[in-house]
Amino acid sequence: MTQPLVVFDNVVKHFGSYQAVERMNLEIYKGEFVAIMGSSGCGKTTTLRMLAGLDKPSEGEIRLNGERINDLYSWERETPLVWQNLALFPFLDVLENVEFGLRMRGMAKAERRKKALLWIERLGLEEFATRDISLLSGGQRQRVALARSLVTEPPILLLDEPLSALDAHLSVRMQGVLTGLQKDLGITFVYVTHSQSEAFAMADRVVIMSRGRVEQIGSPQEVFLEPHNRFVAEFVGGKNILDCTVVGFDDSGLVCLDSQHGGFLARLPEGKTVVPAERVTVCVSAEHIDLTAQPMRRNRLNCTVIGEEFIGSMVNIYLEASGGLELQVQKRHADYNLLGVHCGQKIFAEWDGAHALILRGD
Amino acid sequence: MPWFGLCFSMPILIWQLIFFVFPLAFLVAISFWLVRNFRMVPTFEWQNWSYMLSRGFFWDAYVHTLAMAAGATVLVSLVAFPCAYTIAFKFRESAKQLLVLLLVTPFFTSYLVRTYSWQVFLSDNGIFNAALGLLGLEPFAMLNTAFGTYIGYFTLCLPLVVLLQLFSLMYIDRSLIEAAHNLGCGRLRTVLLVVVPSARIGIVVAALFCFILTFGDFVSPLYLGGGQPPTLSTLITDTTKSGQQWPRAAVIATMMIVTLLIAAFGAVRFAYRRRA
Amino acid sequence: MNEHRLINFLLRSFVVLVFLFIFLPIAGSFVFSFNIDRFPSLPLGGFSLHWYEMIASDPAVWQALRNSLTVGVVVSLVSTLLGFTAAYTDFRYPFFGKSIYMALALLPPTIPVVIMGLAMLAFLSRVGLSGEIYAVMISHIVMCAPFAMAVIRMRLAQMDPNIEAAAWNLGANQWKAMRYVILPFTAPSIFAALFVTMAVSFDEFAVAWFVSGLNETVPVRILNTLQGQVSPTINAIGTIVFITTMTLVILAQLLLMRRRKPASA
Repeated sequence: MTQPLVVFDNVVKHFGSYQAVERMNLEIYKGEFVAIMGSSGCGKTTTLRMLAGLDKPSEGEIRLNGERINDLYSWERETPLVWQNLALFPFLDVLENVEFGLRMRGMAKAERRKKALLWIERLGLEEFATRDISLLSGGQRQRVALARSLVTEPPILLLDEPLSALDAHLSVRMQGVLTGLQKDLGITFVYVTHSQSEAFAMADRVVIMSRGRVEQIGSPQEVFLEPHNRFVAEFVGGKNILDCTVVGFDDSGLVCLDSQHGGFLARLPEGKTVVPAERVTVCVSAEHIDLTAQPMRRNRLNCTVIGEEFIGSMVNIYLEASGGLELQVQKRHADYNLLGVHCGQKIFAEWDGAHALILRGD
Repeated sequence: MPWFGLCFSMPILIWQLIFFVFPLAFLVAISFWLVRNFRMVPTFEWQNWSYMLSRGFFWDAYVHTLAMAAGATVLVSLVAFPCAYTIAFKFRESAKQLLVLLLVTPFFTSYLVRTYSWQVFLSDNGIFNAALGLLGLEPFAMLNTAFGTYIGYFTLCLPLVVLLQLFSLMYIDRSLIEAAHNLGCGRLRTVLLVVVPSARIGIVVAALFCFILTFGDFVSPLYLGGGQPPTLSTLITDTTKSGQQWPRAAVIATMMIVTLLIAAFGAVRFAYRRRA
Repeated sequence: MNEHRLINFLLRSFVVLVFLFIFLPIAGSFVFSFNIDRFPSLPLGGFSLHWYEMIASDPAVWQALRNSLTVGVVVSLVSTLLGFTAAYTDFRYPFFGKSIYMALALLPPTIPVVIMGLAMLAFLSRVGLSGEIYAVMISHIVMCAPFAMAVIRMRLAQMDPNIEAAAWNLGANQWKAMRYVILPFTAPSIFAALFVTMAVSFDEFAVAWFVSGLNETVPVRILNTLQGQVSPTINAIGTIVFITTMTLVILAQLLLMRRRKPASA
């Protein structure tokens, strides 16, 4: 196992009485694209700022290449940050903005100009080199910010919601630019975002945070298939949550559960055990639920169709079961058309026990 | 590295403590000193205070200064408001900028020179009286009267008060006024019930500055008002010019400071009060 | 609707009247400076440069001018420096007792000049500086620094605070960030502060009168003329000072426009 590039060791950050980050433990490896995600106030930006040296941890240690960096100022670290609002210097043109980091290192003018121009070309900004930055478009300014951070060839690049101000089209294009850049350069990217789609599209691993706590760390696939708790399941979307109580076990190893909506079977994630009478949360993906008038499986619910939503090539069907429980089912267009459901229709929702996951946490 | 922060925060603090706070505190302190053989002697006696506060001429001057300053504040504010209102609401953006520029120009001229200019206009044989004469009217005494002092106060304060009121009026939410009209509030009533309260802070701050300036001014009462009856500022300059009775002048100055502090406190409370 | 137009007309006329009142003494001074009469009246006397000749040949006026310029230059440099440091402190640091700090920095213009004058006179003569040109400089710096601070603070308010942090993040320590980011950004306001403080100092007559003794500045010269042999030379001095100040201000504006890159933030 190689040495991680960055280690957060029991890092805590509070501002007065406000706890921004609670006991964070995270390892980031060289060459990884890590996305830290969550809604506002979850502590993701604070985590990034601590890594950049703009905020100091209240407790714990941050290590870069094995060395403690808590006490290093931002200018003593090599952790350039691409700001959410870009923070380009308005009184400098593009070239001067890009070469800034090299200038601060004391590099001679001719040499730093050359290097800066190299990166300007690399990001497709040659024709704007001497232009005033206020004359550039959002996407162009974005690339200037990137060039400015990368010109010093750092081991790691930090990005604070860089695509949030761009429109959807441009954002998707830039995602491609970023992943391509990261793969070519082999630098570690630490990327903060509130957008689940961005994180899942680009990252090797994601860190999901809520109210200062890390809820789950894993690859996008892992997180999506096996969310650890209710928060993560709701965050990644497309999941149905049921509260149940453990009754026993059946022969195939599935857990028997009881709830106000009836009895169900569900599987345990690796390493988790339960005892009878324990309360657990069960999660079923929307795409694993089938709709039928003749249910044949143990896991079933009698529902009424209350709505439909067309999203690209899929359709989301919303159902309501007894007791006010709402279900979300996802089907491809073709399958949806075959079903022929309509609003108000009574139908059964059913799913395999193997597709129902008991969540590790609450 | 707290050095950086200290390098930037300390200079003005040290400078103002030594050369602003200390001299003012020193001023209050010397009001308790005595003058012996033309020199000031550090001590703590109430003599100067009992002297000054028992003198009729002091209280006459105090009441006179207070009345003049209060009157000027009210008058200047009343004259300035329609002017500021019109500029804020009845002129195009480009005209507004030009008018603001014109309002700033007096600050680059000398108040003393303008006062002297008024002397020429207001004197008994001056421009205005000559004009009256040409129209067959009797000359009218304007210089060396309270009228003259007021002309001077207006010259001193009017541009500033108009500007301060104007800045406050410019930032009023126009939709408030439209809503008032929409609800049947007549134009004048809207001004009184919506515009004035919304610009309250600017109007009160402008009035406070006007009061402070006129309360302490010694130029207009002397060169346009004739110097009689004297204002507190005239008393101070006379006392300072004619001798070393600085302790007594310090008593007058301290009384002025106290008065202004009360006025400022009251004004700020009034300006920023919240509706119950 | 007719009533509406009438009211608007009256209001606008009122504004014109107010401006006429404000500019009457200024225009008058300008005209009287070229008028041969010692006590101008109607009809005006003939055109004359007599008063200008008088001040040009008066050594006291020239000395006063030298004093005013010396004081003005020193005051503008020191005030702007103090004002800049204060503005940056307000911009960057939150701390306990900050409102008192700000009050100290900004209060001087609210103290009546007659009180300031007396206080400075008493204090400076106690330390033996009264009557010296330094006395005027010190007093003016106290009074002008708040203006410099206000001007520069307004400019800092327009700055994205992240650009300073971005400079740190890119390898600039606090001093370098100050030199390569804060100063370039605030440069226009620093120039403006230099000119504003110089103008305020140049025109300040009251405190200067208290503390300058025999080292008269131009406004003190005027005040002494008013108190002594009142003379239209005052108009001549006033007109020249006004034209000089206006030229400086216009130059400053042109300088700012040329320095600024097209459409800067």
